[in-house]
Amino acid sequence: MEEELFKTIINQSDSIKALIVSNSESSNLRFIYFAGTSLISTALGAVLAYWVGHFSHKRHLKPESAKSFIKLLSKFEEQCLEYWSKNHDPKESLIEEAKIKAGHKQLRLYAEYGNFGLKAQKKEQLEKLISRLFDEATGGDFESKKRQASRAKTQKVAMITASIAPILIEKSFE
Amino acid sequence: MQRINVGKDFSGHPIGRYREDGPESGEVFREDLLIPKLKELESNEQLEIVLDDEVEGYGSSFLVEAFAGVVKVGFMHSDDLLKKLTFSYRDEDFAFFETKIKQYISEASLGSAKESK
Repeated sequence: MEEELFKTIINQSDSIKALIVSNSESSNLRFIYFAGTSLISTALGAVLAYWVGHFSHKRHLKPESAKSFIKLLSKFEEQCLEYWSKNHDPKESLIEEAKIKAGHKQLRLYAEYGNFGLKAQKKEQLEKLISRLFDEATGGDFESKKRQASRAKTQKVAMITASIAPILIEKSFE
Repeated sequence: MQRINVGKDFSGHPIGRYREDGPESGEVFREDLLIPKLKELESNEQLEIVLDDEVEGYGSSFLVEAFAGVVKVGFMHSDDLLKKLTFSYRDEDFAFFETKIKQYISEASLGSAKESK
């Protein structure tokens, strides 16, 4: 009787040991599972947050870039019209010429690298018009002492500028 | 290959159209530097123009007078001039000026400057 009781106790003790081992393994597995899912969900959350931020920034960038370009264009037009509406002046012309050349460089670089979200065909159209603007704004008797006020120049500059603006105005309202 | 470095051999501030506009004008560049260099070239030799070394930029009036002027004064046909010239620059923005020079040369009519005088 005592012997049987002793065997039963030993058996139970083995079962308890097995239970403890099994519990411990299960607890380890639970920990790994919990840590793993936490890490994956955190990483996914971070990736999602990055993409949401990235796209909303990009969406915001296009209209802002287009608006800035239109401002530059308008300022450039103003400078050109001022310059070509009067004869050469040794003092004033020097400053105006420098501003026109620098202004065109800004437009050129902005058109090339600015993020307007334009399709290839529209971008090419924009670059061609900016190239024509260079011919008119800095051509003829630009930087020459012979320069006279030119109605033709002022009109051409104004018309080219007027053709450039609509390409970007559409983008500035997106 | 011969070479003209605009900034070093001519001026860091190429400006103006006619000789009376100053010593840095397009006409002075063409008459005193470009055409004499073109005359020195062997039949298959090319002339390299360094556009951006010490130069910030150009106006269309200078470029037309300096380069298209070679055709307009009747010195050389536009196709021949385009074959003779090559352009170099480090600043990629100067690719714009290369394109413009080639455009102005292509559009120039041989001897048109003499006819208009």
